[in-house]
Amino acid sequence: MPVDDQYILALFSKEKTKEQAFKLLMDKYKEVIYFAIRRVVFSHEDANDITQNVLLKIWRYLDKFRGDSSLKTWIIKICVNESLTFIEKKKKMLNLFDDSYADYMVTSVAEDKYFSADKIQQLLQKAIMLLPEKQKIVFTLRYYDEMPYEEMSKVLNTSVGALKASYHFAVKKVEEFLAKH
Amino acid sequence: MDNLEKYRDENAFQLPNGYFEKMQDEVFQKIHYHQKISRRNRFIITFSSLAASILIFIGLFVFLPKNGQPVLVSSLDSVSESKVFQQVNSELNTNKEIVSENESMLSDDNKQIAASESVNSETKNNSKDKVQQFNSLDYDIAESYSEELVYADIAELYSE
Repeated sequence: MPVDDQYILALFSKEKTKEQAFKLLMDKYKEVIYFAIRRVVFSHEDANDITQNVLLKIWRYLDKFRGDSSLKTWIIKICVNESLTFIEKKKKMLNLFDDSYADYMVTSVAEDKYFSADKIQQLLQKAIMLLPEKQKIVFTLRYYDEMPYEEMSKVLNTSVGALKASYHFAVKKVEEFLAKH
Repeated sequence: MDNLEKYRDENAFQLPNGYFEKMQDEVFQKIHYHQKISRRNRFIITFSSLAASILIFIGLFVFLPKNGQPVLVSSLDSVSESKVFQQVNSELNTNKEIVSENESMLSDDNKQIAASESVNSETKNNSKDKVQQFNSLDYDIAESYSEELVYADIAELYSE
């Protein structure tokens, strides 16, 4: 049975039970965090690094969580921000622009040992890799996590209408890519 | 959208065995490491702020006025009575004597220089006169010699 967020927060506020609360939080959200990141950055190694950074940030700033949104939304917001920062850093490090970075990611899909060998899955991932970063995040949050647009608008600070349009365009692009290949 | 629904596969992204357990352990190790560092930093900050406040307190005690008179002034008065102060004073007096001796020696030197300059100017004037005399002598000799030559030439002409 999943632990209630309020219970976790109450435990976290006391110094004695802080670690216990964080363990409960990790048990509850580790997969949500990891896969939210993995679907954006694709590589397991990169996702592992970012997941650990996100968890450290949660440990550091959970005291300041005001409860304006749900704990899950707050955590996914951190995941999205960290992933986007990581991608920007990686682009600079590899000296790649948006298009060339997408090509680099597409080639890495076939070589990744922690990704399905299924051809359709590989094609789907390649199509997602070619989407612009924000559109990619909108697509993965909706397609894999089935996140409601209202929650997504809190994560991405974008209007619901703009998110719907963004998702619509992303689906169209992915379908076109799959039809071509 | 229905086309894409059938491709959704949660297991497409694979993981190493026991990944989440290892990852949780690593995160806790990092948290403990950060806690150690922050505790050490907190200790350093507390210690340095304590040291700074002690220094400020000492500074205030030394320099702030005590009974209407600054502490520093009263301590300076006690310095004027001390042996060190007397020693410094005697050193200063001997220095003054040396300076006055040097000044008197300098004035003597200046007088000597002025005297030698007047002698020099006199000798310069004498030598100028001698040169003029010599020049005029030289002219007379040259004139008389040229007259002799002219006479010799005339005598030669007549003899021919």
